[in-house]
Amino acid sequence: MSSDDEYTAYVSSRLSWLTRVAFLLCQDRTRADDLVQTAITRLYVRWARVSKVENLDGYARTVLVRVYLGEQRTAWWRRVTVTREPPETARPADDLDQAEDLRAALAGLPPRQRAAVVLRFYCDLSVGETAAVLGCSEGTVKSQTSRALASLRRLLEPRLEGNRA
Amino acid sequence: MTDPTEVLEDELRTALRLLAGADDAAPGADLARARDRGRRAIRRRRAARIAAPLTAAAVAVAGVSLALPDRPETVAPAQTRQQPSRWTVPVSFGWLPEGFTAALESERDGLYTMVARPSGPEEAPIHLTVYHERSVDRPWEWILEKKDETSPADPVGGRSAYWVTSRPRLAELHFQYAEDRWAQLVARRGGGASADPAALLGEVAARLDLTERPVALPFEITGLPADFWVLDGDITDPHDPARRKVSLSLRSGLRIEIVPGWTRDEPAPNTTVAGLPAYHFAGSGTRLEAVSGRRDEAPVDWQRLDRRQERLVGSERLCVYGFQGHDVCLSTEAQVPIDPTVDIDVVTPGPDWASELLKASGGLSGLLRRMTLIDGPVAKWSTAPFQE
Repeated sequence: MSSDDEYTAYVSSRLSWLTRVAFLLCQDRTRADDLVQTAITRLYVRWARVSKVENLDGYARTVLVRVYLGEQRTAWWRRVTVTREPPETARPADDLDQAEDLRAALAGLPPRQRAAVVLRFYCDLSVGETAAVLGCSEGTVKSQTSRALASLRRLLEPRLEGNRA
Repeated sequence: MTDPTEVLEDELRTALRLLAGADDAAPGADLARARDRGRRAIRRRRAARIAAPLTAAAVAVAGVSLALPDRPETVAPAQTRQQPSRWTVPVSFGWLPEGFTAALESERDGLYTMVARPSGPEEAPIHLTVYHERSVDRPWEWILEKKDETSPADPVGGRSAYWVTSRPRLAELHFQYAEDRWAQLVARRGGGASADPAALLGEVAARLDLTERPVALPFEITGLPADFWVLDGDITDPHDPARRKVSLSLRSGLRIEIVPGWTRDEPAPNTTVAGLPAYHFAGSGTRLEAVSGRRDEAPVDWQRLDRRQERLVGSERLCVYGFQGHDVCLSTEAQVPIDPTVDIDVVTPGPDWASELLKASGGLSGLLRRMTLIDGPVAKWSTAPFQE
């Protein structure tokens, strides 16, 4: 299999997953597609070296998160086409409401706190693994996560208590 | 007894999976485009490596060049000198349906994004992206290739226009507004005026204002030397005063950031300014160390790059919390290359660095004291925010 074929096979199998992570990070489907597009382009440029790494999924996820966080920095901002449209789904109304509540609550977090939450609780990375992706200390991950949870708790508690009742 | 934090974390895991799965649409990223652009990037890097020895030799002879970029000439020089505004847009909304208000969201590398918001929730916002002459993004190149994802639209001002048909929930019009200059309009398909987005977007496109206009901002600063003009900026949620964020990069390394007080993501206060809690740090280091051996070494450690930059002489950051309900951060950046492979033994602030230019007027704290924030809707913002 050629290098291009290997790249295509790998990215094709991971595209949905990367798009879901990107969506959780940026809350916008069109922008998520743009983030993934940039990430898989960078992956292609480095494919010759990274295709043999042990944890390729971890590497791809790191590139995606760095693309997202890099957008928050002035020098590397790329265009976004903002639509702010809610996802359309046929799920039950309660599930949709909960998803929308979380979406709104996540949108209120600063980008690095949001990234910490997604990496820790959606990607199930450890504190150390999250620190490696974000390029910061474990202490910073803990404080970012703690602040994010405090904000989310304030915003989500009424609904969570209703679910538990 | 169950730890409430553990309960929240478990419920958060479930909710995140629910949210991630809520959107069933197929991924929109294009592998073929990724490979094409990736191959072009690889070819550019190879060409740069071949050219690099000549460039390095020139630098060694002349000394490290820290020249700042010239202001892009978007209008004739005579008009630039008369132009009082230090941040302008070349294209803006000329006509909008009744009740819509427009604001700039971002300007970067020749790319401008603007949003026109309706007064009520029934209508959908209209997003305008303008690819000006300095734009490195050129989406129309793939637009013209993707015959199966586009359809020709009625000409706009006699020039080419295309609808993107691959995103059924959006109306997306790409069009030429001038020779070799493109823009796009996007609106979500829905009720009200956007029930017929084709007609609406076509009319908005045909009636764009192609006159250079000053960008309105929610503050005014007096006593700012003429050396400073805006290189790029972002205004997030311009129409929502409670969530609005402004982030500007000005020539010479000055940055201005205004965020709502509740989103504070800055270090804890270590001083006060005019009785308000504040954070202040000034770099004093004079050596710039390389953090990696190759420019394309991945992934680049942005945190390390940031930290080495912040410690240098000429770098300073002053954040005041609770200033008229906002957190305001002013910073100066040492004007050194951000290339991670660069190593400089002695960094000396140049006369055109922000830190030097602001010294006579009291530095960042003096600048902050001459700043007035403007609350309220976009219509009340200042089109002359920077005054000498």
